[in-house]
Amino acid sequence: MIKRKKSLYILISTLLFAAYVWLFLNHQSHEGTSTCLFKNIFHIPCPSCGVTRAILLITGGDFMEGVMTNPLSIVVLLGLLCLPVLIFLDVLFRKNYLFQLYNYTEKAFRSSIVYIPFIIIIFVNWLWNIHKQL
Amino acid sequence: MDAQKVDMYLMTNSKFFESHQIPVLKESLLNVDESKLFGVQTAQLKDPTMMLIVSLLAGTFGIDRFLIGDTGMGIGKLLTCGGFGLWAIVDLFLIMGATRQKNIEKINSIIYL
Repeated sequence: MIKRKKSLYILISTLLFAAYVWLFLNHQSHEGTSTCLFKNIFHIPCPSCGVTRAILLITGGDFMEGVMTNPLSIVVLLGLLCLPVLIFLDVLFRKNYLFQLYNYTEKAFRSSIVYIPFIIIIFVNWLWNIHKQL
Repeated sequence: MDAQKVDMYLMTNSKFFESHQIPVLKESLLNVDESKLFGVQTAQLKDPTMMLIVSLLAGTFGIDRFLIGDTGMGIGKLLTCGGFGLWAIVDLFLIMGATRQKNIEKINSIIYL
């Protein structure tokens, strides 16, 4: 349990760090390189393609255009803003808010009321991404 | 549980577990009550090879993680395009071990319930 908790914190921190570095690099240069395996192999955008562009648009002040590029960017942006705060609080006050949130999410996604709409939304968003040629 | 039944179970299902977990599993199966046998034998275990194929085909969407029950990590992979492409590649090597770990957790939850 403790090992799992520790590896989860390390994994999420690494992902957040990588995400911020990635956003910074994309903000500096506007070449638009893609690391997405699926897109590079099949030349079809994946459900989360365009999130970087969308977040850069939102942080640049163009909220509507960002959301229209990829609505998933709102979820990612919320995660990028909230998760570091949670990690900071957990480290500072020796709590486990993030671990509780993770377990709660896993539990919630086991019920069909949550996962079926989630799959439908992701699939519709994917079709929209293909239509938009992201 | 009867030693012969335990041996038979482990022989037919050894591919679902890590090799270092099998002696411990054998010990705990031998010590457990006969009534747990049905639950253990009918438990739906995930095939590591199948998960590797899923990881190859749909790893960037996190489908492999969703299937083995790591929903949180699945969402993480889905939203970041397979962890910027890197996590999807790393998971090709990790997913079989992760599947075996989930299988042993499932069997343990049946035994000690």
